[in-house]
Amino acid sequence: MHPQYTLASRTLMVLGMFAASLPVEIQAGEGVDATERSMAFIDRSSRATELFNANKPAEALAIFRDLALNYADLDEDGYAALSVGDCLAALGRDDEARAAYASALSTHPGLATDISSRLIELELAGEVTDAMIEQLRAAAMASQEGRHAAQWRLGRALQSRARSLLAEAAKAFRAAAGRETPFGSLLVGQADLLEELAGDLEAAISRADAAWGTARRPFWKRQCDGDEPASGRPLTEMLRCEWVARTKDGCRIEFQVGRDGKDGQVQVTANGKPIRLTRAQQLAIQRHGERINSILLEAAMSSAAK
Amino acid sequence: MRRILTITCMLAGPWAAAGGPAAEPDMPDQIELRLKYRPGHVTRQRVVNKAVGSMKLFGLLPEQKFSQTFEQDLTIRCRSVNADGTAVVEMTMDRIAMKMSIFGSNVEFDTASPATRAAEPPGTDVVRKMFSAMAGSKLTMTIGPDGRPTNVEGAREMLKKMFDQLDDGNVPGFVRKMYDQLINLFGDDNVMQDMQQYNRMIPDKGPVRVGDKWDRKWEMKIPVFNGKVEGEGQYELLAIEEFHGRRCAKIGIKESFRMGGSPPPESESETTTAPAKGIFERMTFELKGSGGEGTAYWDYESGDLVQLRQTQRMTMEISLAADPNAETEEMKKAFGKMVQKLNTSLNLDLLDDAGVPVASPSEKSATATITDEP
Repeated sequence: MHPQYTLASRTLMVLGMFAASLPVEIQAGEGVDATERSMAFIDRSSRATELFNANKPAEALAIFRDLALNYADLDEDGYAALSVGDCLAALGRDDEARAAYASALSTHPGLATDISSRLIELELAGEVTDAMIEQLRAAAMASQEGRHAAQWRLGRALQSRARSLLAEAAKAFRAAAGRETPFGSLLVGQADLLEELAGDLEAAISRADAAWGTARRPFWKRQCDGDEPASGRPLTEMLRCEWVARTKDGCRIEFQVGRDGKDGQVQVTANGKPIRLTRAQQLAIQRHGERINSILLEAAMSSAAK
Repeated sequence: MRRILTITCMLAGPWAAAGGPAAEPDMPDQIELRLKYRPGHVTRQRVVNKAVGSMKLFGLLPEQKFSQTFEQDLTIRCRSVNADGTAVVEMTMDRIAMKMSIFGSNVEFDTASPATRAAEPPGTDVVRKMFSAMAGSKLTMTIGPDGRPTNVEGAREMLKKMFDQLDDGNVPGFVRKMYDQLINLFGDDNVMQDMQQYNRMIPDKGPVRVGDKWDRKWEMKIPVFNGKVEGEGQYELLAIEEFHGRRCAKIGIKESFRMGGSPPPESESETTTAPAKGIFERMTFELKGSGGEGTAYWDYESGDLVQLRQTQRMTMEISLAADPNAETEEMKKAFGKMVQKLNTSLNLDLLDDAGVPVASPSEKSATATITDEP
């Protein structure tokens, strides 16, 4: 879990409780009906929010739509209006989501920045265009405010583009190998490696998405009703292996690598002495370990089937 | 923790109002609201607070949809009335329930049915520990003849017990410090300070007639946020009418408030050996309230608050300054502005003997919520 997530969730719970304990501003003399109507708006907003966060955007959408339509005078912050777009985005109905965001902007101009962010996220969730990349490059260079968010989005856009380009390159090599050339096997081998890299990149993107978890709803895992998908990565319960390597100058080093399921950290010794891995090294070993897992599991199942 | 609202309820229980001079069989045209305590007088109330809206969080965390429902069943008992007119009132939190929806998941817990589910969302265990520790807690208050509390006991103890439950030995130092700050924030002295404001629905002068209005202003320091709440309220007696089988004053309320905080002190240089600051010491906190609706029904004969409905909108902005002396690299950085835009509501109802909110004048239970112990 992301450290900010942990801090934020703990802090928010306390602050949320504090917030709702503050004194309220109340309009005298406008009668019970106005009060009850305002209470109903809050009750139904709460219900719709719970449904949205429970990954039931279709059910939430019905309520938010009604609130945006029939309680527009109480929706001063544009919460219901914006949520209509969020539900549609979660349902993958992108064109309708864009229309809903445009509608929310027309009634709540103060939401321009929020809506702009959502529209960019919609783009990033699909095939990233050159225009989007250029737009993000400009935003990442331009202003101080929002620069980090723009850089983050630019990184995601570029990695998405890289994934597409790798796949396209592999396809091109494979197509070229299809013609009778003396280097056909070389080209196929290159295509295999590029596909491997594309798969590796895909796994890295998925891992990053998973770290954000449901906090990035509606733009993360845009599935509709139903449970959140479980991670498809095979887990290594236990790891014990050793091998011998030689350095360029001929030194012989015996590595022993182990990992238990408790903290997931890889422990390595070199010639019997523990060596310390950086975070990046840990991550790289974990990533390659997962890939080796997949290869071996696939091979094992294939053998069993035969 | 719904301190202000809770306190309003606490004071509501022992209130007693003398009927107007014209004790006619139908409704009087004026009533006098004044405090009067009766030893053994007991009321049970359910207080439900809701908050819903958006939260733009620190850093890159995207805006979240947030809703929270916090429900308390309270028993308020007047223990004794002293010769000087002060009263000792005890409030027990019989039941606490909470639903919180954020980060794409829902956390729910009720101390009346604490059974755990097989797959609970993250955070449920924290909520369970906190509220289990709070349930059954008692606050004891001494309240002056003017309705102002002069002493509060039990709040600090309750909070300490609650946060002790969260400390599994792995709590980072800055979180533990935050717990300490919250204990101070919501501790006895601060609760008493809050409570001193909550006789404001009572007019200074009586009797009042339908259409009469009265005003209040108040100020409440929140040292831990380097700020204070300044509030003012306008109250109006809208009607004197029967409600849930009781003779009630229907009071319209307009209260506004604003909270502003001073910027946190400049950070020490990198070479300083000053201790790490607590989270709240680093915060700049701003709060803006805006319009809403609200109505209270008071039984002016018994002094019981029969029903209260209130709503409000508010925007809260929190910034966290950098602290080069913080424990971790992550915590040394300044966090960007966190903005919460929330609609909140308060429901208060009397409970009958079965713990069900009194809802209809036809129900006999309308009077069952109040008992006078021998």
